[in-house]
Amino acid sequence: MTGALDGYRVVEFSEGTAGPMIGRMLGDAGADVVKVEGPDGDRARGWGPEEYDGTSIVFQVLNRNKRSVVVEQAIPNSALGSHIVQRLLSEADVLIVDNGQLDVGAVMAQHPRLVVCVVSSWGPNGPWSDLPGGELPAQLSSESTSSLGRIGEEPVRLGTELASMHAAAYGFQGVLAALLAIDEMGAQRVDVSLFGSLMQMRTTMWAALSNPDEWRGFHLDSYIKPPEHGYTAKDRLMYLTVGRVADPDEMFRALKMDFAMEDPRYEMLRNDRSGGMGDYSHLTHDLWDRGLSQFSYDEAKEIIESHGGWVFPCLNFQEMIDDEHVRLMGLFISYPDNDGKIVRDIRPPWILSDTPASVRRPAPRLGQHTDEYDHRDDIAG
Amino acid sequence: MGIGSKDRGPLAGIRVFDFTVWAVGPWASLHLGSLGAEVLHVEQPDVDWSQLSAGVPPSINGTSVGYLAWNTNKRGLFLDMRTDEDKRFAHELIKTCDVFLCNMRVGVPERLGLGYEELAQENPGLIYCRATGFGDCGPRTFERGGDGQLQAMTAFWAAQGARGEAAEVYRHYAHLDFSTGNNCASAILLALLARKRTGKGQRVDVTMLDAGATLSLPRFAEHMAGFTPQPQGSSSFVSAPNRAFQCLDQRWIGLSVTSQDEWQRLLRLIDVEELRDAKFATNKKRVSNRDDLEAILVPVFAKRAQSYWVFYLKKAGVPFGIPMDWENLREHRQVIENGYLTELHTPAWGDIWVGGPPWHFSKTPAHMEPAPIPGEATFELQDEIAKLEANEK
Repeated sequence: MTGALDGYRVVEFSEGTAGPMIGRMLGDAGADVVKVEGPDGDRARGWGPEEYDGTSIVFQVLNRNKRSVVVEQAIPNSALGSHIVQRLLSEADVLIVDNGQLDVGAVMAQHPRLVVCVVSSWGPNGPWSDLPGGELPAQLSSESTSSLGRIGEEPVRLGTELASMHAAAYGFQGVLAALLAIDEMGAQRVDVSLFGSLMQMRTTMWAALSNPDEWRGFHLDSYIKPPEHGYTAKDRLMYLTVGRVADPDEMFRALKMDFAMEDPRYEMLRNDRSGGMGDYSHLTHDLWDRGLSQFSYDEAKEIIESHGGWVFPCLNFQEMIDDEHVRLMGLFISYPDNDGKIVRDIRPPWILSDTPASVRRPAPRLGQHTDEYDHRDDIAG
Repeated sequence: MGIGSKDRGPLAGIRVFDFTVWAVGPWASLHLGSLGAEVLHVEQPDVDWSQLSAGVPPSINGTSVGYLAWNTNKRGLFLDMRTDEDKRFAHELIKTCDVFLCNMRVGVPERLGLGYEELAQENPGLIYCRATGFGDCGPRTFERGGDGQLQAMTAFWAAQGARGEAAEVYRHYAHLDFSTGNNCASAILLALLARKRTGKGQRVDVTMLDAGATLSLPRFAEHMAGFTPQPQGSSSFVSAPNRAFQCLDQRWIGLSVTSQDEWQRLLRLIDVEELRDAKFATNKKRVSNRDDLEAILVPVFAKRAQSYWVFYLKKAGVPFGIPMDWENLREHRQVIENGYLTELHTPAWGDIWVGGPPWHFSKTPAHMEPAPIPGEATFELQDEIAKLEANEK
């Protein structure tokens, strides 16, 4: 069995997180991906702390299944004239390029069968289109950070590079959709941005803000709430939702929370429909914590779920990796890098029954494959 | 028949049977619809509109905002899978579809007679996509998978929080649900491309656990390499200086230096001798000495107003961003000129803003249509099937 994109060739003129993540997914799906780098390489090669020896681990996982070709000029507009790049583009089906890195119009005129995905921070139009940005700028400007931290204090960054990961998801979709339509429509350009992708992700919020019958619920009031750290059972941090509990009084009695029933906030507690996101959760959190601290996680789970609620553990990175279910799924994988050192990574996030994804090679050393292309001087086209 | 058109989008000609609930499945099909596919979104004929999309608040004219935001670009179809008549109708309709999409709990589609084996036999070109929380090969198979659960269980929260404080949950349900939906849409597109070569459909499985893990790929990779990320306010895990600084007017500005070139440009703008110390010479050194670096920069930014920094960072070519909110975003030229918000004029719910579309195609623009009145296309689709059956006879 071969991958869904077997036979497709991709050139990646992109660095950092978003563009390379598109390349990673295309590569996982079977495409042959060549990464073009300047002499200093993708900036992500130098990310992470000094204590980590060698090329950054984030670069390695974002760039598996790729080969690396180095071109002389770091500013690739001049590299456009170079031999290797012309050769690569003339054989490619897809080009992934960061905004401002190539004259896309000229490339498309020379290579009319090439689907070109342009990745930017702010989108192709508007006053910010040529401004540099990045992950934190996109998070702040799309107000995505307003669902974390406290009002008036330093914004809290999302725990992962979400603007970039979502832009990658949309770039991947855009490329695949353009490839599907290529027979009918010819090749085309598709633009995605970090900012635009987070604007899409906040859609429920925008709809809620535009015309609500009543100003309530977590889509409207989570801004003004304090940080939610989870609930504490005797032995672990947990999270719960109790929106479907039929008889809250009975549940609270079973949880030995009679002290809460005498509390003036009890009406709030029993009407709170949704754990940490409920209308009153932040006001009644201490009642829950006092109640739950009488039980182990397993005991609390049994009681709450027998009344129709849901309880689940807050897992940290290692607990997630060690989770029995996760291990059975085979979510985390490992393979040797070019020096034989083990890279620990994550499998592709989809399963196609007949055209499986695959991890075929580790991330390349800078310019590891330049020679393969340098010696071929018969330029096509 | 070719796929794609200038008016409808790159997926014009593709038909999707959208047997989905809550957010994950609907999110996948709303994008397929925006890309031009015809999406048939199933609801129960006796559905109470206040209970659509599980009644997630707030409501707009009595309908959950979830239904309105997650079901754009679709046609409404009523099906009661408890009746033989509708069951038969469903099977006939699915024969005309390219994609079957569902996100019920494990075992539910099979119980309703909509399992993969059965449908693939009737329509060998069908792409059958199923999204679940946890797949079906382990002890969590039958657990409920929602955004909150998956945030907690995929360590999505573990590295986010104020400096030195405990980690915190993201107070909005979006990224886990929607990323799973995005992975469904992408995997369906892959299967459609494979079908161009093989002529055959296939089965597509996507889980929320996979989506959650992949979203946090950089953090898991760091952790597994021996560097467990901790909450650190607005500071980046991968580069420095890369955080929000407070300006003289109390406003914040987010600096995002991720390359040596950008660092040099910042040094030309902020000419402070201590920044030239060897311990800040490379990104890796700056990340390892982040606290010292930020301690120098915090008072520098605090000396000038936000607009000063916007002006000079822009001039110097140093990447930055500023916090915005709904009231300025909805009017902002960057949003308007890129179409990152769309105002939909709906028949039953007034004017509603939604995000997207997130792509710009040069030849086959994506489009946005409001969520359908539930079941609105049912008669039309019944007619279509009746005519098909009459022609076959």
